[in-house]
Amino acid sequence: MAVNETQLMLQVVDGDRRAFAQLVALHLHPIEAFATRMLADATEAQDVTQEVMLRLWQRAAVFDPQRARLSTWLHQIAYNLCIDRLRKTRRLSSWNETLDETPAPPVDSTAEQRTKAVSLALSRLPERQRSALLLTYYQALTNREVAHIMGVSIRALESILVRSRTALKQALEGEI
Amino acid sequence: MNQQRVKQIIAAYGGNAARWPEAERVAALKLCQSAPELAVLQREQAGLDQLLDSQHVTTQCSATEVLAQLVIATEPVQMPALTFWNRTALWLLPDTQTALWRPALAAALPLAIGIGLGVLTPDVGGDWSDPEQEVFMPYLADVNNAGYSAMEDWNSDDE
Repeated sequence: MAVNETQLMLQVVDGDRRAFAQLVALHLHPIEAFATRMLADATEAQDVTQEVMLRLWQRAAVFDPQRARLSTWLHQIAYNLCIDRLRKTRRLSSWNETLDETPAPPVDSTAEQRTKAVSLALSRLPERQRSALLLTYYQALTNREVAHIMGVSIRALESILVRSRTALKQALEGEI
Repeated sequence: MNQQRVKQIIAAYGGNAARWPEAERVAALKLCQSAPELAVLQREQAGLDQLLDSQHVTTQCSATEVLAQLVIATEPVQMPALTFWNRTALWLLPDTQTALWRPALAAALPLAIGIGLGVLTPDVGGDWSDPEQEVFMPYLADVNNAGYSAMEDWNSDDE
């Protein structure tokens, strides 16, 4: 965690809204991007992002810079909120790591169609596989940080990642 | 670091060495350069890496909105406007113990209203020229007659 972020967090604990605004500017879009990919719903992702930022303000005193970077802490909050939403809306794939068997619709090889196909394939991954892949691939987090966020060992994380990449390759066979 | 570990890394993190765990990256890359089969594995993952790299999302949240939400969340809660009756009830029955005369006043109020109504209500005895009199008089007459006849019977028994 950068020194200035530690300082900013201390200021947030004291109720400094300018410090909070700076932290929001730094972390808002990465968190929203993660939530958007996780939930495949822009509106819900915005709600989650707002909630994460609100918790950053309200629970700043709980944050321990010795345990994790601020980014890791915020991603952990976002991850938990996304999982809660997926469960509530019954869109959560089962925890037994099985793939949705419904075949993906055929797509053209245009860039837009390819993007949609990847998005669809990602959304059909079981949530642990999806979370592991998204956090590792897109969120600039180390494998140790992702394992911390998901509450698994690094070995378990790598095992999940292998399964998720294998499943994605199968789903996107025509695109690769 | 051995070939088996490099295979695991490629299978988990893809073919792009920039995404491999930093602590193992240099050693893994050295092995890849010396072992052609590892380089093949790397290339096999490149297609999926390219697809994932092309996956961009548009973010719409603005910092201004977040800050506005924060202001709303931390503002003191506004109490809804009280009606006249609610204000009166709160005045008469305050939460504090400092104005005990107010509950006493609230208790005495119905009594005062009752006395006031009693005083102000016009006397019902007096003028019986109302049409109501037409209704009640026959009944009263029957009662009176019955009373007299009973008294007459009683008197006659005495005799």
